[in-house]
This record gives sequence, structure tokens and C-alpha cells, in this order.
Amino acid sequence: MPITFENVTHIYQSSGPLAATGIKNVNLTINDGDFVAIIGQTGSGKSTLVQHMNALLKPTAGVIHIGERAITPDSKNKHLKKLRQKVGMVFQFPEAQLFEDTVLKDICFGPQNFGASVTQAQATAREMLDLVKLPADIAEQSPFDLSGGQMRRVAIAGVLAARPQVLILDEPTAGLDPQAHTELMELFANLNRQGTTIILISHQMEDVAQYCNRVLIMENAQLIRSTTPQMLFNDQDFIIQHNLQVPEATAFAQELVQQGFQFESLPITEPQLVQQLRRQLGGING
Amino acid sequence: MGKLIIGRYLPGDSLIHHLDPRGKFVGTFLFVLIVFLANNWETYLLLTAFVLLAVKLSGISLKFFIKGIRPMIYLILFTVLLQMFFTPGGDPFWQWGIFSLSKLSILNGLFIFIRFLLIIFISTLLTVTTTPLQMSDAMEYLLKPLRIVHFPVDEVALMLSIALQFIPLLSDETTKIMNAQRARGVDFGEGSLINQIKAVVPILIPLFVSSFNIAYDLSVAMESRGYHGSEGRSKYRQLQWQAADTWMLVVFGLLAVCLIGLRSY
Repeated sequence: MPITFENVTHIYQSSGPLAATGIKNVNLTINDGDFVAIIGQTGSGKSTLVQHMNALLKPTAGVIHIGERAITPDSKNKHLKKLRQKVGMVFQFPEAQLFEDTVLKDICFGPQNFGASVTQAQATAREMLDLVKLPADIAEQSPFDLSGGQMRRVAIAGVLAARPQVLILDEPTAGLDPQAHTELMELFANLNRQGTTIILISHQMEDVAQYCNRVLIMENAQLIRSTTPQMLFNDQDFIIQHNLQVPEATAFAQELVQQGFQFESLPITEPQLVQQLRRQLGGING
Repeated sequence: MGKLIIGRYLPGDSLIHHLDPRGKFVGTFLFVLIVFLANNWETYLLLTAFVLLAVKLSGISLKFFIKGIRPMIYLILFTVLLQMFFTPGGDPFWQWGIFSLSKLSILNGLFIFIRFLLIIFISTLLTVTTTPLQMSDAMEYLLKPLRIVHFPVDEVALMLSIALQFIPLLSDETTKIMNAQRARGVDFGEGSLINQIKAVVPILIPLFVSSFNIAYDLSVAMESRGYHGSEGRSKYRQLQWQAADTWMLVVFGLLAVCLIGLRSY
């Protein structure tokens, strides 16, 4: 289900003295099966941008095509359920959305809203618990008795239970420990391999480099560039100019370059770095 | 919430923005009393001119105020119409059962309409030009005399300022939770009444839970920073009463005197 933005602008409280531009004149296309990262400073419009992708926000100007649906400023808020089933969204700190008395019921909430029967929904929910690596006996517990990390997983399971074709993640691993971080990112990568389009807002350049095939850069409510992580992290002028971070592997490679090393293109992940170094060092030795 | 502007703060740099919040509070309160002095065209004209001048001085466009009243207009009109039809006396030129219309009742309705507008304008002016923190400081100061009767003024002021500071935070949280539940397939404002009420549960419970969490975190943070209760604390934000504030109250006094004069006229 491809998503296309055509000259999309969103202004908050557009009439009145408190008007604030959320995004301005954005054009982009997200194809099926993409793993897209959206990066940019805090307040650059990333969250506003993604909330247009399942019609939580409507543009104040421009058109958004989500699959077959076209969302314009005049679109009515009706019949959006189908759309929202296909475009799932995990908000920042999603554990704040839990409300049912058991974990199982909370995960079932989404599918049941989208028309699944109770038995169907429960089967899906148990499957999802397994998918997010939570023990099955957690199902009958209250979500509020769980730890922060477990609550996060339950919330994510609740979104995945609707089996979205496009999954939007707004900093899904913020505040998690490194192990949980890796496990979740691997889960998303796996879903992506099975065909789910993934859109990830992140400040972690390592994740951008490791998992994404495209990266969109937002600045001051505008989309300033759409490229691949490889191209982005090799464009040092752009990185410096826009105050962006580079992955650790790239930073390390840059220091090596200052010591006289040469890279065809800067490695952006650890395996790439190791591979290139091995080739070069191997060349010296043998 | 959307369009209602009363209770919202708009940053600005006008004379009214810089007045002492205590003065503004007292002034607004006085004005509400003064409005009831008016009883004829001249007095209402004077009051209207006064309010328009105050709005002008705040540097906020009149259009903004009028827009802010729009959500309340039906309530006002309803009251005014009731007043018009049910005012007895005068010389009714139209009558149907208990309903009657006379010159007196129409005039009465109009006056009430103006009275409503003036009170709403002036109280909106207060909230629009005063930050919530200033407001709670002013309340704290004005409530001080109640200490004599062992009213916990400091605690109330603390609760008030915490409550005021958390309104925007909780309102953001509400929007966020609503959006999250929408993304999970909830339709707000659709379907039967029962369904609409049911749809509130997935917002209310998370909101209460996060309020509890915020309260817990905040109280721990306050204690670890040495808060032991309100006794014996000093104040960081000092309110400063200036000449302009005295003048403002004098103006209100003059207004009242003029009204009393015009009343008997």
C-alpha cells in the first residue's frame, strides 16, 4: 500500500493568532516493503508528518494518497477504520494507551474494533504475545502490574494484532534497555522482511544505518532530503550543515581517514567497517 | 475544546499584560459588580466604551474576542430570549398565554445581552493577558486573610499552581491517547449514545493512570528537593505593585462613580 504526499501542508489552529506550521509543502512517496527512517531535530515536524499517514491529521493543503484512498483537506472523517487497520501506528511511549483489565483483552481491543470475533481476536492476541516475546501466562494479568518494558511490548502487540500492512513507529525504543532495544528492532526488521512497510522515527543513527533502506530528513517543518542511509552518512558537508549525527561506525571510520586510511565509501554499520578494514589490512599484510 | 478562548493565555507586551495580576483580579471582580449598577442607555454605553478601550489597550484584536464568544452565543441568546418573553409589566403589544413582549421587556433583554458580553469580555481579557502562574500567585495573595480562620492558603495555592501547570500537559496527553486509540480503531463521536459513552473508557482510564503516575513522580521529586510543607518557605516570584495598578483601580472607582451619577439621571 504505497503512500504519496503531494504538496502537503499542515497548520495547527490555522485560524487565529496561535497558528503554527506543522509541516510545509511536503512531497514524498513510500513504496511497499520500504523501511523508511524519518530523522530531524525535535520539533521539526516528524510526528506531524506521520500522523497524516493514517489520517489522524488531515492536510490543510495538498493531497495524500494512502493506497486507494485520497485524503484532502475536505475529506470527511468517516470510514477511516479500514485505513487505520492497514496503517498501524505505535506512538511515543505507547504504554500510556493501555486500559483494559487484562493484557489479553487490551491486545484484542484493536482487532475487535476492526471487526474480528472474540475467539479470533484472542487467538491473534496470543500469537502476538509470542511475537513480542512475552510469556503466555502474562495474558490474564493486569497490564498495570507489568514493568515499563513489558507494558511497551503489550502496547506494541496491541497495534500489531490488527496486522497492519504499513507500520508507523514513533521512537518505539525510547527509554528501553539495550537488549530490549535490539529485540524490538529485530522484530520490526523481521516484519519488514515479511512484507510490512515500516516507517520509523528515530534519533538513533545506528538503527537508521542498520535497518533502513531510505531516510527522510525533516528540518523546520520541511522535508529537506530523501535519500539512502549510505548516501546520507557519506555526505559530510550536509551532515555538518544540518547538525546531524552519524553512526558510531562512520565516526570511527572518519577518524581513521584522518590517520591516513582510505575508504571508497564510508562504512555505516559495524559489519561494513570490519569488512572494509579486513580487506585493507589484509592487503597490507599479504 | 477548540475555539473557546476564555482561560487561555496569549503572550503579549501591552500595558494590560504588565499590570499586577492582583490588581487585574480585583479589577475584574469589581467590574462584575459595577456592571449591575448600569440601568439605562447612557450607563451601558459608558461601560461598553470602557471595555472596548481595555481591549484596545491589551493589543489583542477585537475579532479574536468575538470569535471566542461564538461557542457561548446560544446559551446567551437562550437566556436573553427567556428574559424577553417572561418579563412582566410594561405595556405588552404582543401576548400569547404566559408569553408577552413589551418595549420594556425587549429593552431588558438587550441590556442583559450587553451585560453578558461585557462580563465575558472582561474576564476573557483577564485570562488572556495573565499567565496561569501569575493568576495563582494573585489568588494566593488575595486569600491570605483567610489564614486567620486556619484556611490552608499555601496548600491551596500550591495545588492551584500545580493544577494550572499540568492543564496543558494533561490536555496534550489526552490528545495523544485519543489519537492512539483512534489508530486502534475507536471512532469518537460516532454511533449511538451508548457507544459514544463506551468510547470514552479507553481515554479516561489511561488518563487517570498517567495522572497517578505523574502525581507519584512529582511528589517524589518534590520531596527529594527538600519540600517539607508550605511553612517557612520563601518566594521566588515576587509580585510588584506599581503606580499603574493603583491608577487602574482608581479608574474602576471613577467608573463606578460615573455610573452612579448617570443612573439617577
